[in-house]
Amino acid sequence: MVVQRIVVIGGGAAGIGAAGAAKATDPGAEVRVYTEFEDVGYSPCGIPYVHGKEIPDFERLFLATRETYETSGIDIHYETKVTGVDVAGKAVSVHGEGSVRYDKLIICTGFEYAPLGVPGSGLAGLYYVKNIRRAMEWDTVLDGVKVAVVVEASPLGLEMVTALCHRGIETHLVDPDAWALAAATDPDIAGPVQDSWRQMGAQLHFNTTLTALSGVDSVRSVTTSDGEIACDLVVVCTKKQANTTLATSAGLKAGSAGGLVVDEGMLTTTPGVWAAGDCIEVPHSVSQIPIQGLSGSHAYAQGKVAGTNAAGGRRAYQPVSVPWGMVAGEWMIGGVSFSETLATALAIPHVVGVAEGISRARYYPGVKKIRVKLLAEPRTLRLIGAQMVGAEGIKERADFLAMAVRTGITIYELATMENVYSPPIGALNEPIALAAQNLLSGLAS
Amino acid sequence: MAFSRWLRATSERYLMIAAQHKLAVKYGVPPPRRPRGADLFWLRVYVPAYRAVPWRVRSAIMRRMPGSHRRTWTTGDRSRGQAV
Repeated sequence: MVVQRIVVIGGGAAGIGAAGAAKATDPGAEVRVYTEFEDVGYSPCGIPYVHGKEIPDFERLFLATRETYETSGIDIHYETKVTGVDVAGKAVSVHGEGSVRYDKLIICTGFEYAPLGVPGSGLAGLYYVKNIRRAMEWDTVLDGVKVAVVVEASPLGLEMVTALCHRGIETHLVDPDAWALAAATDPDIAGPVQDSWRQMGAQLHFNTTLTALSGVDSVRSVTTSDGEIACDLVVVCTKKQANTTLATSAGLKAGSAGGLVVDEGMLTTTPGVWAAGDCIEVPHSVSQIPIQGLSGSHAYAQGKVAGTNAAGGRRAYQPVSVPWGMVAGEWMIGGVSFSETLATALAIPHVVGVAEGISRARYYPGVKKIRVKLLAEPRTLRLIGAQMVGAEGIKERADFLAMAVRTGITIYELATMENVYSPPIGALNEPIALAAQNLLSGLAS
Repeated sequence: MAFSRWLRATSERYLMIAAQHKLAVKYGVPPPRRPRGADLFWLRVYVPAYRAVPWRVRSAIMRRMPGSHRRTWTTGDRSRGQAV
């Protein structure tokens, strides 16, 4: 029997998901993973919470050991860079190993932060949160940092501002937009987060552009459109851009979102080559326009699809509604699909319903407010987006609403939804239903 | 950068700035900075022109751009059709 060799480039969530699925689909296959880094099988998403001291150490972020992968038959080549791909010859060029043949190739090269594009970008003292070993080193540096600047209020930026404030560091957030996470949230959702950051001591510089970084060897100040901020550290949290250099050099095609073009099976434009994770783009379930730079859960699921199909199985991925949620400041925020800002930007016809509800029975200790905003298509009243801010229960609602968007649920259905009522975990009136009812009332009036 | 990617990135940037202006007024928060230089063209010419075109036409144009959406994708519930 011929043993197929499946090569995976990249050891992040997508790469490890792909390798595991490939091995599960074809246990006889030789599955080889190349990673530039020292480790695989950890959660980089947990790094900000170690910096913020919510998680006591980095070791807890590791999900599996090197031995775990060896035992499961996945051959991981650590600190080994793939320098080229020859799709015609079905081989990859590997630093230190030469040309390595493959039968199937899965590209999971992840993302790079968008370059700052200002003078001084090469200075030391710029922290790009990505690799856990570097994070461990930076965590020691943070002990001596008095003032830090976080550049851009991306999801990671929100987490890092919160983490640095928890750490007692004077934290400045510099962002060119009018409010935090403006690409995904609305001002009424971001507002409570920003207020809580100010109460935690953060200084927020919105509508502010970074123009330069200054220092002799290491950064000592940032210059912005609003003036200069002296600092010991800059945390770069710019947009995640697909890392497609290797793939596009080999002739694979990228789309308008910058990610590699794939189909529902994660097959690229080149036969025998699949791709998954932050290096690809996938269609949005409502607009069908491709988007890129999603979460670790998306990357892992895409990797599973790519690995299964590369090994000879059959699995399909769906267009995405992108449920998201996070802790920022003293709040949880989250949503799905379109925000009011994004729908307005794209000029997508929409109607909005908003409600403020509560997370538990009104008399139960620890009850918190939840603000829910629903967006619907005006003609059919199908749900096309949602936004939420509260102190608990955001993630579960975002997941539920993502299924509602995907399956075409309407505001009529949400307005009459049944809900769990139990004083410690749910109020009599579900805030989602209230927002839907308010939307219908608004239309009726 | 491919033209389609540049066009999309630049278009999205200015459409978002214009949307932030609208939402800032609606919710009473500070709006984005006043446009200057090349911003003026995009915000005063491109954005109004974009908005003047019906969504279904705009959507059809966007879907003709190269990308993953033009390959095979099975949606979860085909019976209800496209939402927007």
